[in-house]
Amino acid sequence: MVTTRVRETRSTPRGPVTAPPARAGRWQRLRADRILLLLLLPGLLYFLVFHYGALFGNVLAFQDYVPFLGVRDSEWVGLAHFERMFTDPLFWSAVTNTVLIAVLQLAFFFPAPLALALLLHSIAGDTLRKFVQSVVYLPHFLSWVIVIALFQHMLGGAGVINGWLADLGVGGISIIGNPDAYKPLVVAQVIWKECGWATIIFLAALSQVDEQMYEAAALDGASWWRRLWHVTLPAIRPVIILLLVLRLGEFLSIGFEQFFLQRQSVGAEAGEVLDTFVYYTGFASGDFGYAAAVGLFKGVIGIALIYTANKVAHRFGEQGVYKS
Amino acid sequence: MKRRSLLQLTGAGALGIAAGPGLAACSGGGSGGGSVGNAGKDLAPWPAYLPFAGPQPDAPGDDSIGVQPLYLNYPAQLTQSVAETPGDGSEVTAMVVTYEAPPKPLAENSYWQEISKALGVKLNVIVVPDPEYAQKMTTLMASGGDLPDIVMFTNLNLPRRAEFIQRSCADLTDLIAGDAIKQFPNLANIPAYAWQGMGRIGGRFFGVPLERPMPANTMFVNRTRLDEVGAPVDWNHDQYMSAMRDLSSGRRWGTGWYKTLFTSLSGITFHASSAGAPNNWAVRDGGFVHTGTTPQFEQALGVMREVTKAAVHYPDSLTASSTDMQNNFYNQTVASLPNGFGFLALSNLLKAGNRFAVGLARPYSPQATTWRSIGNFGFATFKKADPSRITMLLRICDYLSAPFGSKEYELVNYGIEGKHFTKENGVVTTTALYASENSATLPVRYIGTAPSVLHLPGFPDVAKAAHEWERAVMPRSVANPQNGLQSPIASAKGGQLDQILGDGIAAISFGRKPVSSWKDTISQWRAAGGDQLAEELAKEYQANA
Repeated sequence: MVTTRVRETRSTPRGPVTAPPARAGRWQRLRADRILLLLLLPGLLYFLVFHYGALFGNVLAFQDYVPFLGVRDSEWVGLAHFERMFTDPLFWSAVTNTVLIAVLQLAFFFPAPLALALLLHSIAGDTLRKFVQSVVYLPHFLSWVIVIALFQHMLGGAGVINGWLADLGVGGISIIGNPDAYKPLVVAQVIWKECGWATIIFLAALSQVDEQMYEAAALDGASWWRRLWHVTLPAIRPVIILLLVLRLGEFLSIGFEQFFLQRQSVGAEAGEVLDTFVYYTGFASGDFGYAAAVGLFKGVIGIALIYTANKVAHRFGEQGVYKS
Repeated sequence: MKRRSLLQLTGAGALGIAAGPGLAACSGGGSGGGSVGNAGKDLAPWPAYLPFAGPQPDAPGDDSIGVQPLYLNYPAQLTQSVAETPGDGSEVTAMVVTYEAPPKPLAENSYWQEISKALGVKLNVIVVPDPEYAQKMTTLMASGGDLPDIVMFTNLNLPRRAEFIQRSCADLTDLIAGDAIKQFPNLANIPAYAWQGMGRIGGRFFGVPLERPMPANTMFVNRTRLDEVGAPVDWNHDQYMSAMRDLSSGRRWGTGWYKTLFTSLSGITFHASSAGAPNNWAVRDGGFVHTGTTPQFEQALGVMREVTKAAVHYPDSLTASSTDMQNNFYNQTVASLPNGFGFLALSNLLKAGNRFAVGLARPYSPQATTWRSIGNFGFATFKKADPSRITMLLRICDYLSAPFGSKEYELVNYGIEGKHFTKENGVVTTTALYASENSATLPVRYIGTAPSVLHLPGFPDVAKAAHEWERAVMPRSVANPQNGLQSPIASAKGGQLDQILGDGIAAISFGRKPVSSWKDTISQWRAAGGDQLAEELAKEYQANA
């Protein structure tokens, strides 16, 4: 019975919303779905505690928060933190770096998994494809500490590549610790680490494309490129838009660990992003209130972005993340 | 599903700032700030100093300028420094930092068993690995809940540490101030500078310092390689630079820094003190002048840039960890390394082995002002309890602080004879078991520690050279007038202020900015609280004088 309903939903993804069942039936449905509801519980608890519960932490943004005094006894300061934020050059430098890196990520990291997924999808041999797939997933499971150490050992001033160049008598390359190379470097790192993993959703979408469409297109003499353009991409467009909108919502959340570990090598001007700024002001300097204000600012921008992106998606006739 | 995704995203936006306020709602009270200062308070007298009449050193020390007594051989006759077992058989939990792997469990750890027995308590330790130390301590302080019996603090600038200690830890003043300390003879043997470096909070004592010798952050050198390139022991700036050049070729470099040096002034200490810059602060006309504002400091920045321009430094000095760079020093990739004076320890000398002699670089100018340390590694504090229990905990510190030449020192520092070490002809040799069972893996050395002496079994020449270095360099050394002073702004923003200076030093040293940009760093530092810090320190200094 349960499986039937799931199948129904999948076969009519854009179907009309089914009419609410009669009141008497509601209890019965709850009973019938109790296993599913139980399975839902841990996830629900997670969101309640770590996402909704944590939202109350935003009051810190309006306090001179002292950890061992707590929210109750810390002094209220109104909008002082926000006033300070808008005139703080360090904050704006962090915003600039974050936006620049986010734009680079969007331009280079967002399309990369799609391209890789298309490539993987076109590999004929099933065994070979599975093997390549497993290999490109692997870096995702390495921690940032290891990935960064790897990049540093390869590209660093005393690293492998500079060692070779020195042996050849050619001048060295300066990438690690070079503020100008920093932003491309961090984007390259994230592509290397996460590209394979990010193909999963695209591959799932690609597997849903009707094979008959390809056959029909091929019969009509469509080349690989034409099939890609007219069959594949339109078929997976909703997924691409969905992921893009989701990505925009997290536009300013470009990651913490990666930047925290490398900030020192290029200094704050080039290396400070919003998340490290929050860490240094909040946790390292104990300025929790100010850090919370910056975090709140980031959250508000995130909501604005996702709302706008979703509106735009609707305008283009796409489903987006949610229906308004 | 769709709606949930949206909520998840907004939730994720706030996640970055969640600091668990619900956990932090501890019972009310005053605002905490301001009252940690000593200005306008009744100041408890410093604990009396009754030095231990220990074994005769091979060369005497001098407490007043920071020269340690030199012992080439381990004393043949040991004295008993603690009359009776300190503990009452109860359970005692201590939270301490560690730089090593966690200790073997009690049941398999004969050192731990023996220490527990000697202390007369069931000793539990909560070890906090150094990289997580700040995070763990901040959480502990924020939770405001139940503290372990003994909480050890390093000198790391944790936000609002003094306020926390004043509020949550036991006031020890009545038990240790002035002559009261005499009931703990080994604590009375801790030199005044260690107490003064720790300082008072609101005029009272809240901790027992872990003594460290006065020489601070020092330039360690590979003396063997320096001798090979003909670098003199007493050198000038040009001789220093030319030695650095001669030491750099292929994949070897004259010097190497590591990233944590650039979170404060540590990266530049050797050059700043060589140039004669004051140790962090100078007191002029009752005001506090920061070393960064002096011409000598700018001169030192110029030398830092000179070093990187000549490419005589390990190229990845800003990404390497301290462990990486120490290994580079041991395997002779770099010939010099700035590090804390505590680096001069037997365990480290063993890593260099007899491949090369570890030495200390003398400053390269006659106007040098070698910077003295804060005189301690940190201090142990105690959870509030009735005076009899606090006395018992102080007795434990007293035992662990037993001086060189006592039986207790031998047990704490070397373990059980025949098991962890052997003694022959005045030389203590540690066994393989010692490598995993010692006062660093079970970090009791951070609950209480003996005043340090120069004794490096198996390396008498290194010890002699270090003693000569101390005698040559320390008479002109200067203390940091900030040591032991409380300042609310330092407590709240000290880390951030240090970071501004560290970032500025790194930017200039590695050529991202010209030396002339230093004044911008200083204005940034002033605006972020540097000026206020100077004012607060001047006021505190007056009160303590």
